[in-house]
Amino acid sequence: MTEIEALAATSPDPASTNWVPMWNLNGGVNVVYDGDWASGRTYQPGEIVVLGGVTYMCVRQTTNRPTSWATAVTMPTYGTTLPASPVDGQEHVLVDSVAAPTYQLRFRYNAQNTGTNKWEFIGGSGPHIESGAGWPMTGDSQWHQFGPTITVPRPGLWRFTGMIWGTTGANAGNVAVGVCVAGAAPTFNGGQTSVPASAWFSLTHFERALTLAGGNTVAMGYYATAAAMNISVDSFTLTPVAIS
Amino acid sequence: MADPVWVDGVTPQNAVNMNKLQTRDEKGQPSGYSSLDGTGKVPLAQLPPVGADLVYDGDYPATSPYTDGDIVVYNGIAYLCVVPTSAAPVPWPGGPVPVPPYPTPAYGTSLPASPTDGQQAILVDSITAPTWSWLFRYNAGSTNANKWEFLGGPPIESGPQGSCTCTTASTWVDASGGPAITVPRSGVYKLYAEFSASLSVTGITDIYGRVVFSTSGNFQMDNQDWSSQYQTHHVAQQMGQAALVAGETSKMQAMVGQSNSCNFRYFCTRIIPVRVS
Repeated sequence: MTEIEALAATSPDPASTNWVPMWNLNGGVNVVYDGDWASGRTYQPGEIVVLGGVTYMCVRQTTNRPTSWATAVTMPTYGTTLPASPVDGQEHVLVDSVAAPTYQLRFRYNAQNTGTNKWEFIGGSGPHIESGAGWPMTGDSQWHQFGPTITVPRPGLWRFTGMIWGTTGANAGNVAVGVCVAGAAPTFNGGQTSVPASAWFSLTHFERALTLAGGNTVAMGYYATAAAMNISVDSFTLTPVAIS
Repeated sequence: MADPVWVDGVTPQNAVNMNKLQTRDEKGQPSGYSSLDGTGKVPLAQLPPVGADLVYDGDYPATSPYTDGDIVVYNGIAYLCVVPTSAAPVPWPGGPVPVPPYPTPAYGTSLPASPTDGQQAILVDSITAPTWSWLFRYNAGSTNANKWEFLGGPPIESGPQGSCTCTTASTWVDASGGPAITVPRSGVYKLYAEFSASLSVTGITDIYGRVVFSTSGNFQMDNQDWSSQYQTHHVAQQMGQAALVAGETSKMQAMVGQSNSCNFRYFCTRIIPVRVS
């Protein structure tokens, strides 16, 4: 069976027309519309059925179920979800909102990728958080999550890039930062610095690749060894490598 | 033998003549004869498949010339032939506007050898298990030798890994087990580097780190002045752009400005293209 497009058209002069578009087959051939495709029935050439929302025309006697043709690669799609049945080479721009997106991530679907993350990132700007709310640190030499979170849009391999800027009080101490996933303590030390008393400090551009589950919350965590230390500014971005 | 002309009282009723007749039992049976319905027409069930002689031929011009009933696909529209022809189908006014095929970027471990202006291509390190994927657009109008301009993708990263101890002033030391990147294409890249370091003694010490490429040479990070024993610092820098050569490899090194012992670890190098050739 062949897929047919049902479209309206004006009618050119038959005397000079060799080809008739498939959406206008009235007369000339025994075309019969049968409605929904039915199992067990023998279809003859010219019979038209609908299956799965697609109109098919039979071109050879058969009892077989119509199967859809491979979808041609079209312009990249755009939306808040990835296409459900992508084809190799298909591209999609994933956003958090069509009306007011805060990030745009362009992916290409690689059917030959043997991993689970077949949507490979090829450009865009990822979810970003930046806050100057300020967070007093507890100097107990333990990890503490702080600041705003980002919810991971899709599972896959992501890159975390972040920075903090802060101050110390009367005591010198060490400060480390990491990434808290789903509220858990960081599994790695993203950066560490030793700071004298009453001083400014920063940890800039610490970056790591993380395998994240869709829906995970991601935030920054700190580890401080002295009291009266503060984080003044917190900023981080998630950028995908490949997702599913 | 010709069919007999029956003559009453003359034509013999023998096998030769009688076997030429078809019995009613053969009506509607295989190798028999068809029946007629109440309107004097042959029932549809006793006819071979009817309807148009529709033959799907795939993309035009799969076969040519075409005859009535041939179906082809041309510029995304399916057409049915109604007059024998070799001519290409022509869209009708009011019909669907053929969607031009999306110029899907080439995808592979090398860039197209003879690109055209505006062509896009995705360069990966592996088709089946890529660790990075870079989208480029070829700008034929660029006066730069590197006409493949980067549009997006993640960096190549190696690390954090490796360590070394520096004790002698102004002597670069390789990071043992440190990061190593092989440059995939000649061009201009943004270069990032990181390390952590801890002084083992008290005393003002200048701390240095750099990325060394086997052909393009050294790219030094901004140096730091530290003074306290056992203090640990993490240094991460975007080091600007570097012109790199395809196939060359990188390593990282560390150095102290004074002969104070300092332990370095967590070396990391990243490159992301700006434009390549």
